[in-house]
Amino acid sequence: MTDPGRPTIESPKPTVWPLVVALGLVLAGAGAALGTVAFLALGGVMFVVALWSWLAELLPGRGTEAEPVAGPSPAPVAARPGTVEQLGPGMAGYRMRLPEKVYPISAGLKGGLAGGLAMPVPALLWGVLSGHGLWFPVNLLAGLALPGIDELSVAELEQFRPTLFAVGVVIHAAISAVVGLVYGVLLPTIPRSPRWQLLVGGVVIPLIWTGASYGLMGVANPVLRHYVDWAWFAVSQFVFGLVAAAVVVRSEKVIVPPAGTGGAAPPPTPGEGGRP
Amino acid sequence: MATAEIEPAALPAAESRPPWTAVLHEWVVTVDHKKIGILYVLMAVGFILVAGAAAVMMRLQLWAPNLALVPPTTFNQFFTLHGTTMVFFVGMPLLIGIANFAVPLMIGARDMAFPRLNAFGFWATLFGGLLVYFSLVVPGGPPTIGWFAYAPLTENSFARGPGVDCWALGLIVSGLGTTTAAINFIVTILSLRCPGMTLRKVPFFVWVMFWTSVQILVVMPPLTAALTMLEFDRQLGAHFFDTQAGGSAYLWQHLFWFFGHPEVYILVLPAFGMISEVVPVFSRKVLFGYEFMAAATAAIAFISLGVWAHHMFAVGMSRALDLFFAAASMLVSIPTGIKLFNWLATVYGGKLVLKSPMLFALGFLSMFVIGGLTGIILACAPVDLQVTDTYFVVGHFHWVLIGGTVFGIFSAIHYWYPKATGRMLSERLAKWQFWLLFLGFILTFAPMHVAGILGMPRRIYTYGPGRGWELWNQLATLGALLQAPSYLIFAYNIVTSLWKGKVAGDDPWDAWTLEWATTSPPPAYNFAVVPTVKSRRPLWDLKHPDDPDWKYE
Amino acid sequence: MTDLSPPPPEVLPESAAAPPDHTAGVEGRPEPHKAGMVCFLVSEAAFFSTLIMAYVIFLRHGSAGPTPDEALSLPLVLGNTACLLASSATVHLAERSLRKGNVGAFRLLWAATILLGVLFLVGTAVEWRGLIRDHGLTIGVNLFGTTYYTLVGFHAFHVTLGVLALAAVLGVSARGLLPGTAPLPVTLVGWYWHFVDVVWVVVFLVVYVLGR
Ligand code: HEM
Ligand SMILES: [Cu+2]
Repeated sequence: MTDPGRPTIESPKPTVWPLVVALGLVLAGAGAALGTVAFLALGGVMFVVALWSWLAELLPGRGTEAEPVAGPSPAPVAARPGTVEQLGPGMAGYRMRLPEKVYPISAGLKGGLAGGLAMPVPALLWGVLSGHGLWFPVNLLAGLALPGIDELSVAELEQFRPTLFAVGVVIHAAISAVVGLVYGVLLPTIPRSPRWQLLVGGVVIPLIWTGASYGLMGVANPVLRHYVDWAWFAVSQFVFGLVAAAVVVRSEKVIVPPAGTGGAAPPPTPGEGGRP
Repeated sequence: MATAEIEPAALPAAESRPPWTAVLHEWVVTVDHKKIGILYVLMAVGFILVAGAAAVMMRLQLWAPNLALVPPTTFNQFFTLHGTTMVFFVGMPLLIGIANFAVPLMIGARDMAFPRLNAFGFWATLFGGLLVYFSLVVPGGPPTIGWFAYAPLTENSFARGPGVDCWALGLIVSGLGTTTAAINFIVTILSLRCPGMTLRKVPFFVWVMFWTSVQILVVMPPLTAALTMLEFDRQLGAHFFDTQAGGSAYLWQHLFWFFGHPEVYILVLPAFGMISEVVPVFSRKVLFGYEFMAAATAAIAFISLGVWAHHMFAVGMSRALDLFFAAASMLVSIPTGIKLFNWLATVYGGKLVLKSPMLFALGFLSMFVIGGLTGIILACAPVDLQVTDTYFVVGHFHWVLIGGTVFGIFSAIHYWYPKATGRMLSERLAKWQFWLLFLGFILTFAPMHVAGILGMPRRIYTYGPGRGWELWNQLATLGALLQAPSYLIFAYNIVTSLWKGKVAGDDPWDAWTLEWATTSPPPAYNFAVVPTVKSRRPLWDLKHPDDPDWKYE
Repeated sequence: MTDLSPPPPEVLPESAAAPPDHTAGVEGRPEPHKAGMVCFLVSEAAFFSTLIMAYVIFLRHGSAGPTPDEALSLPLVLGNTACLLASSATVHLAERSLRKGNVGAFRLLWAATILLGVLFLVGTAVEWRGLIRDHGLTIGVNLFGTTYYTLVGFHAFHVTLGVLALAAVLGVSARGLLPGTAPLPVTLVGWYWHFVDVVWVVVFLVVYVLGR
């Protein structure tokens, strides 16, 4: 069947040595397990001889052979033009619904940071008015990450503590930034006017957040839960939400071209889903 | 689905068939990645039947309180062999074997980068497994240490016979084989991709195998080191894990789980890859979010290197370590979740073709997520302290290993069998296999969660009456009996379809990756002409020249 | 099977001509053997890291028996270390000579590397004899013996393998089977040797400097 004129492909020759190397290893292993020196020695010898022969096959020209190109050839892959059709807006089955314009990522960040700057005002005010002092809320916040806060007395919690302060600031900044980013993504999906977006960002989400905190705070931060005043807590959330949402809503929207289109055409949907 | 009509290819005439000794010789000395891949799979099918039989025996023993069907020591030997075999000689060989077959074809290469090393990898795995089973005939019999081999149970004072040595040395040898396989995959994928196939255009399974291999490369040697230390303890009188002489059982746990946790991801990541090939083809859609899937794969590979001590909450580590490992473990669920949603998005709106590969893929999608959820429950340290070492854990990991790994593997075998043999598997048998496995699996392992929550410890050979465990154990045993035939049906199907199956043709599923561009079975050199690709779905480009993928990638 | 026509000229558009060898890669991709060696060394690094970890963890967990401070002495080890460091230099110089086409210098320097490696092994043997005879330190005597012999022993084992590999390359070269100015075996064995040296530097620092 092989035609002398047909091309050949240089391929590795079949060889038994890898098998013998493995067999040698395992025999030596069995020898070690049983304490049988004979097995150990036999395995070792097999291993060395086989490895040597294996390496010898790596010398140029030794371990390869010319494999003739023979046997049936694969059927050429047939083109079936016209069997896919692009789904476009308005066609049945078209599901792509993206907001055409979105806020840039920086808008979310800015909103989060602005909210984060505004929120301490009511929080610290509570600290002062409740008689615990400026540092009390900060220290409580740090309890989210640091174990062992629950062992501090109220007096200790009212003092300035550098570590707790640092941790508290980091937590506050991180959460603010993340929530701000979420606002940036979420708010454009709220239909209608910016007023609705303000309502959602400034009232609805803070309410949900306060409710969730009320439920989960016992797990996440028992100390805070112990001392918190929920009315003030909610007020702080509203301040954050309103400021963050306001900043986000006021920023300029941009058009983001969908991936894969080179920035021009509306997003195509490859696939056969739209075939009639 | 518009499947091209296929001319039945002529079959070699019966009289020209070579004698069986020649065939055997050809397979023994082969360095062809396709044959080696098939050898891996056959080996694993052999081991799955043995280890499965051990599992059925254990389930029968647990049918009712205080049964005396399997004596305690034998029971311990059964679960040790069962776990070890399923992880090292069934799961890994199946994944490595299937990848061995598929990866070079999918990237348009003619073989793996190191064909002889590839053969070594297989034989080391096989012989390593046989050495573990050799413990059946040594004095004292197989070890009774569990697959995780907690110290000091493995030390001379507790395990006097050579069983543990056979186990450890067998795993060292097979581990060497696995490491060489990983090296081979990495180099093959880095160096032998066909022209035009940049790393961003590899089929998803190939990408996943790359990261799996990286994981193997990093965690297999530490296991080898730990096993070597164990052998030094036993053979040379060292004291690494010998607690009576100051050695540390705690160190063994760290070393073992540093390997052991990534190992479970080594077992499931390739299944992720297989699903990512099957789901798009049988949904007739492109894989949703390839880039996110790719990033999630790399993220999983990295994160899962840093979560091992979630297996050790009950040891009494420090609170800081508990916190760290709990948090890190939960982090894994993020990339895993990304993948799941991408598969669902791929299925969504597709024209589903419910052939057997897709059935198993859907089984995977529905079941794996449940196992992932129980995993997150366990990663919560306080919860884990309540249920660790109970049947809840057994339920969890079988759910991910069968619901994830095994369903993925069956999906892949049903998908690539026509390519490997030129014949189709029987769909009827495959459906029987699927439904028996699906229902039997749920029936076996769902009740275990309940038994675990009710406090039933794992690794016990029997239990007393009146604790409310009977029902759950009986359900599980019934489930095992329901499941068992499915594996036999599978073995029967893959053997008889060799001559009974319909002739497959080059491209029976109307698929899109390069392996379907050559004949079934492919010639030794895979491709007479090395292909050039322009996108992730080169065959799509050829079939639909009016709307090729490379316009969008 | 009656189809004897040549394979379709294009399996896919713009097919490249078939490379001659089954593993001949595409231009710009890493050379397989080199990539393989890097992977192998990564796995070796993981292996040694585990042994070093175990050494550090058990450090000063002494029960009875000799401690590192009592048993280990620096002078001999410093000599050993000098041998290995020098051998890294000779390997490097040998490769450079070969690249310049000076085969004689290559063989000489390569042989010097082997010699230095053997010297290191002899030094280790002498050190171990002293430890066993004068200090009664064996692998079973205490945790220090356990971890010390395992770590240093595995390193010495790798040096032995390296010496054998170096010798094999020298033999092949002597038979004129190493064409070119940078043949793969030379490069790969050279990398391996450098790796073994780097591991020794770490072992030296951990065992003989920080651990004493
Ligand atoms: C979301 C991802 C996962 C998490 C958070 C997770 C978490 C855990 C935890 C905490 C344990 C220890 C339970 C204990 O012993 O008390 C465990 C056990 C186990 N998991 Fe997972 N798991 C996850 C996914 C997986 C996957 C994908 C696999 C395998 C494919 C797997 C296989 C196992 C195995 C085999 C064990 C038992 C080991 C043993 O003790 O013998 N897990 N898992
Ligand atoms: Cu784990």
